[in-house]
Amino acid sequence: MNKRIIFGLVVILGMMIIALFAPFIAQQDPLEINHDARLEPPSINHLFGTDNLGRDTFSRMVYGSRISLSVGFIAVLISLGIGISLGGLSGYYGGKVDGVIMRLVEIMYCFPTFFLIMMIITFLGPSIVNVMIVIGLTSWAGLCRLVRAEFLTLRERDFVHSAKVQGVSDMRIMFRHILPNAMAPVYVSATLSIGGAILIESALSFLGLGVQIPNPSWGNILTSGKNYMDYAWWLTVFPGFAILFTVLSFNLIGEGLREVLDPKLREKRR
Amino acid sequence: MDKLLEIKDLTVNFGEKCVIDNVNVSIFAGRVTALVGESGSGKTLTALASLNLLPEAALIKKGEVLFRGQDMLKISETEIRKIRGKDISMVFQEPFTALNPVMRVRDQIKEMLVIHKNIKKDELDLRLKELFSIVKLSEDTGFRYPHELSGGMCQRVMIAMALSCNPDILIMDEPTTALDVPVQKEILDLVRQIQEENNFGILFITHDFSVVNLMADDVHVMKEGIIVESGEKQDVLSAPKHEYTRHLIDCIPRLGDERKRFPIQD
Ligand SMILES: Nc1ncnc2c1ncn2[C@@H]1O[C@H](COP(=O)(O)OP(=O)(O)OP(=O)(O)O)[C@@H](O)[C@H]1O
Ligand SMILES: [Mg+2]
Repeated sequence: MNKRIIFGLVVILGMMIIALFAPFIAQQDPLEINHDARLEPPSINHLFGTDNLGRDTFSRMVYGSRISLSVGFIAVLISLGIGISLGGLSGYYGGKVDGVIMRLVEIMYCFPTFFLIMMIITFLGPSIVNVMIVIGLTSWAGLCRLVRAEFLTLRERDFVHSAKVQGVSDMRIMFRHILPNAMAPVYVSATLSIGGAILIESALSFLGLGVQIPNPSWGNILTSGKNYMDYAWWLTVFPGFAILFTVLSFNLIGEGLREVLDPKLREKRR
Repeated sequence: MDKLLEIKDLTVNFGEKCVIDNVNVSIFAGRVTALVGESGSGKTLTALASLNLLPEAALIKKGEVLFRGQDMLKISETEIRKIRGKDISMVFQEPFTALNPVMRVRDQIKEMLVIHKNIKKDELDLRLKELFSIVKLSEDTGFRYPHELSGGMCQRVMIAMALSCNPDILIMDEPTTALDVPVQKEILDLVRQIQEENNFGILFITHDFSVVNLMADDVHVMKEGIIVESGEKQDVLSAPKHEYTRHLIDCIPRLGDERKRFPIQD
């Protein structure tokens, strides 16, 4: 099997296990403040050291993985839902439906997404649920175009025509016949988007627009760490690497999937 | 004779170009009506018109398609969807591409029963079993994907789909053109045999008079959208009136010659 996919899967599965069993893995309360143990470097007691309030960075990061992964998956699920439905309708029906939906996609593309998200979050108030929803609602445009393109070619295929002749309804043709044939590029794009969503969440939390302190997320651990970068390197290095590896892993899985699923690339390698 | 469907004075244009010109064709229970003509003569369009599935660019100038007293060209999309695949079904030239590549063939046949008939799970399984035996496929075949089957097997699956809801009319658009000669004959024999048992009407489209000879009862010869000659098979084959019909008949490889080159086992 593809090496990138294996590497990525190992990292992500590890992350998921950590997130799932956070209470057992984190030996200390991530919220407990200890003024006697401020900014302690990594040691046996505090694997990743402590922060300016004496909280255990390792435990905070373990709980933070829950945030990153859930935001990644849920945001992408939302954008998949919107992207597939709109892209499917657009590609299948064409004409006016396509026109309206494509204008909408162009509008979405016009906005600088990150600033749009920041604006909406400021408006709605920062919370992790809002972050998930807003990332989902603003990141479907690419998927929509992709699904549309797939539907445009697939709807001309004989088996679609044959389904129509046999009295299959449009909805069923779209979702039972065409969609399963269009999934390969969707998987690739969705995997890559999970990495993107995690990155956006970290950035929002870093800016104080995501997970609110004292609750931990990789982004807001970085925020508190940045003031002590000169002597408490562990506060920035560990969460930084966690974000890096997670996003990298999703991207590697995505690229690997692309290689495995794309028949054209497969031909080239032979 | 029991007339099931009647195409009356059908005229279809693409822009200024007339592709179906005043066509009259009827389909009868238990009979095979063949529509013969060379490529581009409008055979497929005639068949699609009877299901009201002409391409968007097509313009119906006049005519009607009568089925059970209704004009198929006028009834609503929801109504006609209940007829397509259930009362009038169709088998295509390329069985392989007409099947969904990522769906097991059994599920594709099952879908017909699910959308057109309101039947319970055990009845469904029973009917599927029956269909596989009708088209002489083993039931395990059903659990495979189209690319794992031969062209002949795919065409049998298509026929099983088309017959799943006991249609009144089966339209076959060059159903054997993509298959080799021995498989062709098997499929055609199978279709005739099933028809004898079920008494549905067949509209059989082909460009090949040797297939007409095997299959048809009535023949319509079509050229550039016009039916130039109609009649019972014997009459058309033995005494073709139109020059074009004679030309098409001349294209049949003469049996005598063929037997010398490759003996046909039967
Ligand atoms: N979508 C379309 N737009 C314009 N012209 C079309 C369209 N579809 C078919 N035609 C024209 O209509 C004519 C009849 O086409 P049709 O497919 O019925 O032929 P056919 O007899 O089935 O031929 P074949 O043996 O190749 O299947 C052809 O000349 C074709 O060019
Ligand atoms: Mg044709």
